[in-house]
Amino acid sequence: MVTAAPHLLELQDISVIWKGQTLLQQIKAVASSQEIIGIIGPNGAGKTTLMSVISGQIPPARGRVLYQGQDITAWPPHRRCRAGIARTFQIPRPFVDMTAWENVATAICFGQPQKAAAVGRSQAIPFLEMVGLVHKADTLGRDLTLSEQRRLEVARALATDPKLLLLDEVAAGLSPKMVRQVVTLVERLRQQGLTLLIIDHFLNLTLEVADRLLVLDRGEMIMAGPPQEIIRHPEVVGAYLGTRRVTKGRRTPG
Amino acid sequence: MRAKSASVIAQTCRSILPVVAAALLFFGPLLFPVAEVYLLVFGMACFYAALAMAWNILALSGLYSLGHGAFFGLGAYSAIIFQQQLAFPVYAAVLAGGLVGALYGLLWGVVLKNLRGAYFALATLAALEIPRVVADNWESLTSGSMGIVGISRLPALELGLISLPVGESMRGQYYFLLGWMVLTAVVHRQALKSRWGWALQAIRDNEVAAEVLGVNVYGCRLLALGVSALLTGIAGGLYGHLMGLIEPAMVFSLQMAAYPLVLSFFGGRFQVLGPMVGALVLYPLDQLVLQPWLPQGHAAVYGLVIIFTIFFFPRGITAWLQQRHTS
Repeated sequence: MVTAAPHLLELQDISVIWKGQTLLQQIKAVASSQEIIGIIGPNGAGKTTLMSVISGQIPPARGRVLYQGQDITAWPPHRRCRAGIARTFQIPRPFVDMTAWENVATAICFGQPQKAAAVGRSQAIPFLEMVGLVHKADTLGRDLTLSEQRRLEVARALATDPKLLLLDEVAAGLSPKMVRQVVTLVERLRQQGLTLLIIDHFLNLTLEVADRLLVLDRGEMIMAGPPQEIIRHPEVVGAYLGTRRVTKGRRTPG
Repeated sequence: MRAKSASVIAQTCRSILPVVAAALLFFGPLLFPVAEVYLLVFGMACFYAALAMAWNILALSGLYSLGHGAFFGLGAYSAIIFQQQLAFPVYAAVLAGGLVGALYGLLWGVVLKNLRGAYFALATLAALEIPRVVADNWESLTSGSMGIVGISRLPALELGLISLPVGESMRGQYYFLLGWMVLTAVVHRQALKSRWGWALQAIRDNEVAAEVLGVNVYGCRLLALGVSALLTGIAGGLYGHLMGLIEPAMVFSLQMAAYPLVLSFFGGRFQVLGPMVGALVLYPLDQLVLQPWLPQGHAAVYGLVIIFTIFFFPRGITAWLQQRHTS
């Protein structure tokens, strides 16, 4: 067998235990360059936990995270960011006392591998343009609406010049028209060479763009595969509609 | 049109006021015959301004310390012990005392790494008690709770051609403390306006967001703690020489964090000049006006000041004045 180039991201048997509770159990997954992967599953399945393991906020109890073939399990978040892993948060975390452009400039200044000290407004504007926030460039983080703060999350993550972008519920609560815009953006980012991992509880985004879906339920990965296959699978339907594990061998239709 | 010209005047006043104040601080004692008491009071105001800025450097990273007295006391005791028992030159001993304070600060950085908010503040209060108890009881080294008396005055400071008689004349002491304040102010400015300062703002605005956007949260905070402790420790050593005596209860005191806290909050803790303005306004006001008028209860006024500040201008008077003029 010829040694293939390493996957961009590889998760080896990741387990997370928090206060005696197993949040993730032996998750195995790989992501190749320019792939778009959706992570779906019911509430409390461990989707965001998995993302935090990749971005470095939550250390796994067992298992390893490999990025570009390197073991980064012990790396702090800022180092992973500079290596090209960026994420957004489902509940936005803007820098409240900075304007939108300063929020983005912070990401440029600290997130990119090598960067000069001074980052100006003009360098931040293109990222705000991508998410349609240019008109709010001079508004303080605290004064943005929730949906604007969500878009700022994306702009900031992009400003770190990532290779791997983790999006946590970016499409939640968006109108169909706005979802279309996100689809366009995601496709464009893939063409630019990014790999994307997208948590998408309601499936309104990943169904269209994802190459593969990973299904999590109660900390376990119960399935992985192409979206059209996954959503028809009875176990996935069951996990989503909550009829799983009711009685042995019996499944009532939703 | 009138409103515009009014705002121009306000703008001019705003830019001239600091210049006038700075000129008075620098040249006032040279031009006018100033009574010694003013030199003493404004010199000490500079001292407390530096202490406030040193404290604020850590506060800018989003951590409020109540235990800066630990650095202050360690700096004071180390400086005096280095000088008296190891025959260090005075200024070298003061600097070494600052380093001892900084080391203790870095120890906090490691041990209290995961504490935030009130938990951090309480832990610092506990961390202040440890060296105080040691200083109280290690009598062979520190003379215990009696303290060390008869500490020499600060010697003249030789700066190339100029010799500044720090301990000999009140004017010399004033200029020395003014210089110390300016030096601290330069560092304090870095904690706000440099790349490091930018990182500190990101950390105090949202720590989790900062770390995923590439800010080395732990490193930046450790640097803030180290610098803050170093400057506070040096101030402690200077204090011993200025007062001529030190005792544990005096230097290992909550006061050494509480007072800078009041000055910083009042002056404006997110402004380069904030803590300095706070000290240069409040301390002389207290010493020259309140103390003669209310010798018993003048310290209580600080409590009122901090409550008043939090209610009416939570970002401090400097920020409040700027806002009034820009809006």
